[in-house]
Amino acid sequence: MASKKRGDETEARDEGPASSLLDVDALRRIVELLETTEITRLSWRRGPERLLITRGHGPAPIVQVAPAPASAHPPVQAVSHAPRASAAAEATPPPAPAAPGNDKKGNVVASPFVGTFYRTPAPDQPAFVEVGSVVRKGQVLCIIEAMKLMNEIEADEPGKITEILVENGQPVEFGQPLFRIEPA
Amino acid sequence: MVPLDRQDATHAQLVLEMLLESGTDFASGEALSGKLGLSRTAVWKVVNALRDRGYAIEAVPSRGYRLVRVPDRLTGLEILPLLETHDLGRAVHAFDSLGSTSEHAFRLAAEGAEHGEVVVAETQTAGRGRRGRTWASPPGKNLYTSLILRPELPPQRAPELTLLAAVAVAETLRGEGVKATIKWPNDLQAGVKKIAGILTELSAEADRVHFVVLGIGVNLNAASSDFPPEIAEVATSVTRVLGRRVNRAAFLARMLGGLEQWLDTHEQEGFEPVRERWRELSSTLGQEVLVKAERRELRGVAEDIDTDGALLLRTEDGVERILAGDVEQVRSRLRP
Repeated sequence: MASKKRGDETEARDEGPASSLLDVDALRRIVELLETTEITRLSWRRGPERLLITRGHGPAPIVQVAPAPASAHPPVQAVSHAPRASAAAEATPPPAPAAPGNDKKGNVVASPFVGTFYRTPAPDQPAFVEVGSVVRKGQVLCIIEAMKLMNEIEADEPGKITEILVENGQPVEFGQPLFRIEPA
Repeated sequence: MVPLDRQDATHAQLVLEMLLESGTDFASGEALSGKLGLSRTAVWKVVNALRDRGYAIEAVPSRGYRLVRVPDRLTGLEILPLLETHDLGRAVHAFDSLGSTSEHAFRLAAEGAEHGEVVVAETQTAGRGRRGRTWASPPGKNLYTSLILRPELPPQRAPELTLLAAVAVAETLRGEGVKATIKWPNDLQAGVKKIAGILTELSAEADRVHFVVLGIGVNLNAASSDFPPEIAEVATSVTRVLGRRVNRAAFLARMLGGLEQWLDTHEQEGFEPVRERWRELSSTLGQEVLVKAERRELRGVAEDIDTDGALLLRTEDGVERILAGDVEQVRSRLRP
């Protein structure tokens, strides 16, 4: 199991074999353990399972257990850093990034790094692409920004945008699906 | 002005280097022709070509040549003799005017330009800022440059270079006498006014950086009246701070030297030394700030940067990890 401490967030991933969802006892033990630490956020994956625990300033930690989204990109970090504006908002775990199901046609364009996703070249300009846009290879689809480093993400094949999976201005994780393109 | 071919340019550069080395002394025609393997007449021609380009060179029979004045211009001729780098700036692409130096550098890099190649322009007609903003680029006054880097880094670590660049530019400004500080992630300020800005563009695959274009604008010799009024209010320049002009080529050469040293350190020791120096030079940490991002505004105390360079903002609801946004200082607070 790899563990990486980053500020007050801890992410952990277990690539072990799939098994049943955590039982209540195991969960309680994890939560109790967390309360003895400074950790405010824990994301854990094993096979199809996903566990996200967010501890705000509220009395109790918030626990969310869900099957991991099936995806063409296994290393997707499933924790969403969606805007958390207030303690109230904290009480509702941020939704997992819309994960495309296996049944959908087309290829997923994933984020090459952690950053903020922009659909437009500038706030007052139209989006690079919309659902239904036909794109050519190398066409710019979006920008990901981190620390004022701008990365224009290009289509690596011609096709039609069938889904845009992230909203403008939203933080994205490494490997998070951004677009679905149906090859031309 | 007769254009210099490649060989002439090399000779001109060598003559300049020797004249610069001699400083206020004369360099004899004999020494110059010996070093260059040229006839005295050929040296004379090179000196005249330099004079054509604005160099004032004194010639005294029996003593030799002496450099009196260097033109305030940014081309390889002015920059190359001053460089003390092994990679950065070894090729200089100089222009009177470009849309944006970064746009041009990005194109050169996509066509295969090498690590360290530099683009400079006397002015930019569409200088780039963050999120579609422009960078005011009055002609002939400041430094507008973009540097092509090909670092051995996974793409996720590329943002570290933007903080590294801020450290190098801040130190170059400090070497000039301006007490520059860094506003997260990489704006350079003198007091509360912006003196330099950095915008970085990345070309990468999932696991490999193709290249990084480091776009750096430094306000060197611009007067307040050189900027549009709305920029003049929030920007300053080295001249405005120090009351004297700066040699732009010398500034660029020092800046490239500093960048190269930090790139070497980063390559050998990782991000931590950069992060430590960034903290020392930062005006953001310890301050109460407003972070304006595309979809939200957050207020809090800028506590630290994490091991990726992200800003850790202590808000009422806990610590937020900020990856992008404009930081505005709310009010002064003592650093913790």
